[in-house]
Amino acid sequence: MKLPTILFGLLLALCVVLALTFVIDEVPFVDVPTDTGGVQRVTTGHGTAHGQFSSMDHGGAGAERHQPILWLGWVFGLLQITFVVACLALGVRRRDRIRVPLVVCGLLLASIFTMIVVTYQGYVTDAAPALFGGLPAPTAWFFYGFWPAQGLVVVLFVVVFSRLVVTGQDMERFREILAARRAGDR
Amino acid sequence: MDDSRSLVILGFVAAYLALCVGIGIWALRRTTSTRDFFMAGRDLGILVTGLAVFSSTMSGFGFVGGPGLVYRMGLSSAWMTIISPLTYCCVFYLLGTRLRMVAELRDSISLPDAVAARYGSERARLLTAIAILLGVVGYLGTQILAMATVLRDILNNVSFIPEVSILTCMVIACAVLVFYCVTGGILASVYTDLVQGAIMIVAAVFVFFAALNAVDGGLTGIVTTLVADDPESISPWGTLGMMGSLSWFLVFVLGGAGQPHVITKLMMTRRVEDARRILPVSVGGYALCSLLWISIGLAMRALVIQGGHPELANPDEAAPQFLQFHAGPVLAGVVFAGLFAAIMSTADSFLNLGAAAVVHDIPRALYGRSLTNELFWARVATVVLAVGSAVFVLYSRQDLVALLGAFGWGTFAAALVPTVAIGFNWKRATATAANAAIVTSLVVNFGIEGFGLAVPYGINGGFVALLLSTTLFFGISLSSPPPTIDPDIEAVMGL
Repeated sequence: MKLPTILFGLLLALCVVLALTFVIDEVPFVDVPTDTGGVQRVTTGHGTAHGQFSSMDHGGAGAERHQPILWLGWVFGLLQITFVVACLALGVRRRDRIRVPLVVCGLLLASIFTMIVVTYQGYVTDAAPALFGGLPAPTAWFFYGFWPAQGLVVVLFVVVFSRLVVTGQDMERFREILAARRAGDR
Repeated sequence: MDDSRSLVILGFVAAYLALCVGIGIWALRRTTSTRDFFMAGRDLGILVTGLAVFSSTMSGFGFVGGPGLVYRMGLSSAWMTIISPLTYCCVFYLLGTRLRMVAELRDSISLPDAVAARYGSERARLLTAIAILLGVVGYLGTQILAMATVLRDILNNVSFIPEVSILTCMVIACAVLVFYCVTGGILASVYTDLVQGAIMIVAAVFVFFAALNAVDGGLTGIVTTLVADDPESISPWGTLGMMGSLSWFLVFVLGGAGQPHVITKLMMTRRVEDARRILPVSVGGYALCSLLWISIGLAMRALVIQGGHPELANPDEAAPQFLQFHAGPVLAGVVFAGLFAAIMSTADSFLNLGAAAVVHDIPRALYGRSLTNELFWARVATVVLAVGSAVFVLYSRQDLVALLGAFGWGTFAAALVPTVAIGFNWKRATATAANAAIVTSLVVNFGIEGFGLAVPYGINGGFVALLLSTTLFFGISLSSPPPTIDPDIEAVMGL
């Protein structure tokens, strides 16, 4: 299957995830009676005002609010990571030769993201969560894992640039195209 | 605040503004054509471009809004900044060489120029220019207002200086900005970006350590306080929750490749091959500035909860209040200069983009030619845009200003990621698909922001716009016959 078709498929899958957020009820919520006699549902699953400090938000009970959508969030994250890595491949002409290292980078990022989700489940149910490097486990995976791991994609670009992104032959060909264009202009 | 401390801060800011004026004068002698004015003669080196790319990404929003978001929501907004290495990878993998080649091949002096060359469509040029212009007015207005607000706070803290109005501060800030943008065009802009980027890096590193020291127990003290108050705030999703935070991932990772003030810099490099070394410079600079974004927000949230600092009236005060009360005067001076740097480095890029849209792209799309004496009119347009944006932000409804400010990043992402980042790498992409993507991005972003539509789970409106416009772009292109591309452009796309 061609890469643009795969990208289109991933986008459609993300559209399905977005559509699911409209049908899976956000929790917790309260039904507030309105002036017209109806009921308005107010959800607090994506944060609520802090009880003590009005300039801050409060997350509430993580286990409760994420329980119905944790799996969807995991799929949402994986789809986005896959889409981004596939987009990076779109930018490299010699795709067949960069495919393996990019897939490895993508798998690494996806694995770390999965660890964030897995350790988060333990974190929200733990009354006294342990700290790793001064941070709760899921946050430690995010900061000490996900952040530096992206550096591999940067290193890959630097390392393979002159072999796979723009080779000496490419530059020679580019100069020919440029010369032909300028000759045509004259 | 005592006067000596205020004077140190004012001294740093004044020195920084004077430096910007100096660079403007230096660049004046080197700007003799529109190619110089808009493209810096396509002669930028690795360090200059690398720092200009990162410093124009990290606007006042990053230095003020970022810590404010962390203070308010915990780590939700880390999904905007921690993911920056992937952001720049999208920019450089997709456009680092391709856009530069097309720009040289067609001697493009603006992004809409390159878009018109890629699609062979004047309508695509016009829509790209309109999307840029709409974003520029809103973004520029909010940046000028932010500069004026910070300057007023600094001046009004010095007892012997009479009360200064926001209008006066706006005039001062605009005067410096306009001076170096008019005299030196993009050349002055990128060289001030170089200075601005360096100041931002130094400021961010020092502030990071100051923030950790401001709370008893350092990082562990901050985290323990936040866990005890609200464990969600220090989780990777923050108070916003998982779906909302993750929606920022795509908008800020892929969306970076649609920011005109960032990707236009790629058209100005001296050599195509320089992209290889520019990427790590930009990634490193932004990563260090992310430390400021995260650390000030977390430290201020912990300090307020512990009672070590009074509650903030507004989350955006997190950074200024931290500097005034928890940082030494020299550090505060450097960071306030860094704050100006962050704001101005984005504002000057937008001024240049807006001027190009007005004097070059829109006349070309409508009448088939640019204005005569383009360099003169570019300078006039720069002044008019800066003054117009300042007047607009002063006298229009504040919700309209906020709307246009918020409109910026998401609209650019939704409009230009498919059109430019994907379209320059995929020969099947059609002009109709590009035009549809731009129109969709404008309609969806304005619709969501303007009508206050809420997406469930706090999912970002920009994400919805980006997803819809990109899906539409692929759908239309895949269902259309392959387009005819100019042979030279097709050949370059094949490299």
